[in-house]
Amino acid sequence: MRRRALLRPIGIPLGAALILGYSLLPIIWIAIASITPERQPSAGATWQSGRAVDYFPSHPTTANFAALFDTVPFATYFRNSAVVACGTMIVALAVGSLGAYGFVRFRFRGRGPLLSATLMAYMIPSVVLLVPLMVLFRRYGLINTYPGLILAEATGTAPFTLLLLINYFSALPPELEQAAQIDGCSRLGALLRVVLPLAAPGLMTGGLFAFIMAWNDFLFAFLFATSDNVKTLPVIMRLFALGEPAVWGVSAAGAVLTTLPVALLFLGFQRMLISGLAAGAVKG
Amino acid sequence: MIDNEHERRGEAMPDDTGVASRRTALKTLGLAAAAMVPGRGFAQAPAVRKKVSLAFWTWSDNPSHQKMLVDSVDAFNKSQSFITVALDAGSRTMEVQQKVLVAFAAGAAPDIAGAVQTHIQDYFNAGILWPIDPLFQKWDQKADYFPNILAFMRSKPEQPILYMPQRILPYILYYRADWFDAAGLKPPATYDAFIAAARQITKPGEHAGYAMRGVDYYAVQPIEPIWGSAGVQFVTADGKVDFADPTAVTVTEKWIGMFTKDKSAQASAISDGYPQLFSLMERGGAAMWIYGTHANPQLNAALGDRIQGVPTPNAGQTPRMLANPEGDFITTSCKEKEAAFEFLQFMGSADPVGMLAISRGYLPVRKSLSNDPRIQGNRFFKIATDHADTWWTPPFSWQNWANYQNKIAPYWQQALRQEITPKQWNEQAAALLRGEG
Amino acid sequence: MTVHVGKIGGHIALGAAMRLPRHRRRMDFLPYAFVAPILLLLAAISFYPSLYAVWLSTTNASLLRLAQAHFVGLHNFVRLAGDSVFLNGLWHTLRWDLTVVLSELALAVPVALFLNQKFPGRALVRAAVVLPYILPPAVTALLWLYMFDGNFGVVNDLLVRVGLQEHYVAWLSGGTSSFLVTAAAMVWSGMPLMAIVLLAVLQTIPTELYEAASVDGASAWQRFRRITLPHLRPTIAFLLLLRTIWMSNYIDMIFIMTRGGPGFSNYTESVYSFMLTQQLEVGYSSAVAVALALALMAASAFYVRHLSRTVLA
Repeated sequence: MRRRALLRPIGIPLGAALILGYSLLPIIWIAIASITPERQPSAGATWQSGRAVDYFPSHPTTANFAALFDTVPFATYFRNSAVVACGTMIVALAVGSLGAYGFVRFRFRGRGPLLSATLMAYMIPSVVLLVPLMVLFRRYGLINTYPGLILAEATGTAPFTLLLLINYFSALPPELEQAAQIDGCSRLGALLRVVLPLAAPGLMTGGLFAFIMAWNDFLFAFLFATSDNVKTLPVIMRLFALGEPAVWGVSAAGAVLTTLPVALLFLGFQRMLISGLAAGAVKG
Repeated sequence: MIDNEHERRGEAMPDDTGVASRRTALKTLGLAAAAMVPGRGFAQAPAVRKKVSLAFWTWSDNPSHQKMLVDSVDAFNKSQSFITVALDAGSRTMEVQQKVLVAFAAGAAPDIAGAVQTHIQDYFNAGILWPIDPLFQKWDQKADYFPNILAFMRSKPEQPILYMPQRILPYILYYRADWFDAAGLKPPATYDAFIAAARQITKPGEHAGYAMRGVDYYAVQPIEPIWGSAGVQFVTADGKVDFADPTAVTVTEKWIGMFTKDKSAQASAISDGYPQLFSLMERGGAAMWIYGTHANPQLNAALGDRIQGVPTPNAGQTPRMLANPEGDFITTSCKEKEAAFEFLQFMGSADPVGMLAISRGYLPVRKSLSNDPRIQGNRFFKIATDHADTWWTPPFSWQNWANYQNKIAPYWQQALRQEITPKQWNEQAAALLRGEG
Repeated sequence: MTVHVGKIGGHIALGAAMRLPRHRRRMDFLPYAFVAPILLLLAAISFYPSLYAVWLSTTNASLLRLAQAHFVGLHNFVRLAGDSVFLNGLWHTLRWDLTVVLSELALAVPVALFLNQKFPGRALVRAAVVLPYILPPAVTALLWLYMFDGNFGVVNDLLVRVGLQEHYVAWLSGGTSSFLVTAAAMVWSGMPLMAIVLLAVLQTIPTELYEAASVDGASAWQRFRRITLPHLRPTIAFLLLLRTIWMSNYIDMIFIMTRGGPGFSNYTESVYSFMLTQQLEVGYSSAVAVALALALMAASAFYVRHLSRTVLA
């Protein structure tokens, strides 16, 4: 007890410093890189980097960010990511909340097997789905479309949202709905007017996760979005990763902007997201 | 003559805005000087007089390349009021090929697609490429193309003109003249001299003799002209694969030996791609590099006179300079071939070529565009044009070339890591060329 | 937060279903109307495609000549048995799973224990811990790729400055070193999930247990062994299972950072399947994916059974 009390004043800051360093230094490094000027290209040359490692750029610049929008349709990619992420969020919330309510509030024939089936769907690895979705999407003209991408993202996010919302709904007391129904609300009315408002934090959490998962996904976007009109940011990150020519500063700027929306969402809704994470079933 | 033709047609037009706005658009490209060369630009009135929209898929090597493509297509769209080209240029070379093949199979191919010479025969065999021969033969500027380019355009001698190359990318040997001078060495002309020079110029801990690539198929590309110059045909005229013959293996052994035995290549060669190699050259980490002329503006900016070039080394028989043409073709599913051809003509005219070829370190494929001062005054371009008679490509028209090119990269890394011998590598490559595996 | 832990630990019974006798007859179809949208959606984008994958795995389909694809029986699976890339892939998958999952756990336990203490700024540290998990994996891959680059990487620069290395090391050129760098990136990205789940469990352990143990004179290590660990154990088992399933299927980090190379040294089964997809060999690619899914099926079934039992009261 005594020794412990002595250790604490050193141990806590030390541990915190270690953890902060491990988690944040790589992110700080890419942020520094994004404001480090690229070597000036010669006239007519494509941009290049022969960057030496520079920890404290003496002339920080926003030129990399400007170059990003000037030389790539970065705004389009950004829009694509936002559309796909929002679309996925809406789809996942719509089917997830209805389904969760159905599974939580009713006992019906086939309830157990059907729920197991949705969980099983959640466990189907994306690598199994890649090829058939590729073939089917081509057949139905869904390649290079927002709906196609949103459907692909829903394979993981819809069952996840369902799981999460089942948790939230089952924590709500059924008496409230019963009261509402006695007051003349229909079942759907009860869901819309009583359950959903009460489950708002759960819906927020589910929606945020669906958004972040879709925003971050690389695999489906890489295969199903080959056109600039629908390509999302992670696909561009890979181009940057093997980019010819090397464009470290601009790549870093792109990485920072790609990360920013999800990082801000996370920081803004930390408590919800962390409690959602603690529920533990996040895919990937 | 051409100008007269242009004016005559211009008169016949209801209004002249098409031509006028084309001029304006060209000026906005910032390459007005080149555009002023009479009869060399895209000075025809549009032949297509109805609203047509065309899908054009091509690749971009990097974002600034992409921007140039966007600007060129914009300039074309603004230059006339009939044809609208929609550009999709966000993918890389290999991805575009897959995308086009798959889209064609699904009945959704674009009207025009960009291609490197490597893929032209494949596209033609698959029935995706529509030979432009009928339109090309009627065109008054067809004689402007270099004779060996016309041969590339047919892919095989007996075939019609297949596509319209816009530019060509010759490969040369860049070397550090200052280090070679200090060491009393001459830039190598033969393959053996090259291997020896790489060994001699290497300073362990300071710089490597040769900047070697390993990460993808393009690791093998610089060796192709060396195999070729040693007499290796890859595939003989009667369809026999000779790539596992002792001559080919010997070349491979020496090359891989630079990394495994001589240590004259940089230690990170296995995983290095263009960004790493360029950075290596730029900061004085390597003395030699076989690469396309498209690296010359950047190398020159970084190293000035210290960087010089010679043709790629000759391994005995006939000198070969790898020179890959790149351009655009019309698909068989395109419904508006004349309009598409008009766009190809535009892409082959002075401004797009100035921007997409010359400024990026590629050479034009047309005589009239080769007088550009940016070419005449460039020592690296000069090496390429001086040896234009040795321009060559491996047999891209061979049916299994794509199979080899798509699958060989991991085996090359294995060979560098000595998990397989150079001989085994050649055997693997030969098997892929035979269509196995 | 603690409410949701129930799903993992399986301690809390959920789902108070209710019956309203008045509406019993009319309501028979109603529950199905609620669950139908998600079931139909999943049927279209998950169940049917997976069955389709099984069918494709028994054909010689190529994306270029899909119409000419025909049934070849188990030929693709026979081919797998003699395919050295696939066979080595088994080891590569196992190596990847074990290294990533165990490293994540080894880091997550101390991090969770640390975060379970009360100290000023704890929320900040907790947010920092989770941040890497929120980063898009493609960004993480780019970041680590550049950090470990053999020519301009910051890790090389630091190690040389500190004197641990004489010159730059080509991390991504070596079979083992490229694997380790990729795995490190994965661990950096994935560890926060484990830490947060474990932290949630730690917060459910009654403090009285520790107080009583302290009074009995138990050392910190003994308290960890006797109180903390038994509480964490079911969750740890669950996490190991879940993460192993996901890691076996993981592609992004390996593909973006190494393309499975050098050589085939980082070809896990999922990466192999993905590479074949890119070569448009969809029949054979499906065979690899289906084989992998079958291998993981037992683990998945166990997980699904566990979840549906705890989620469904």
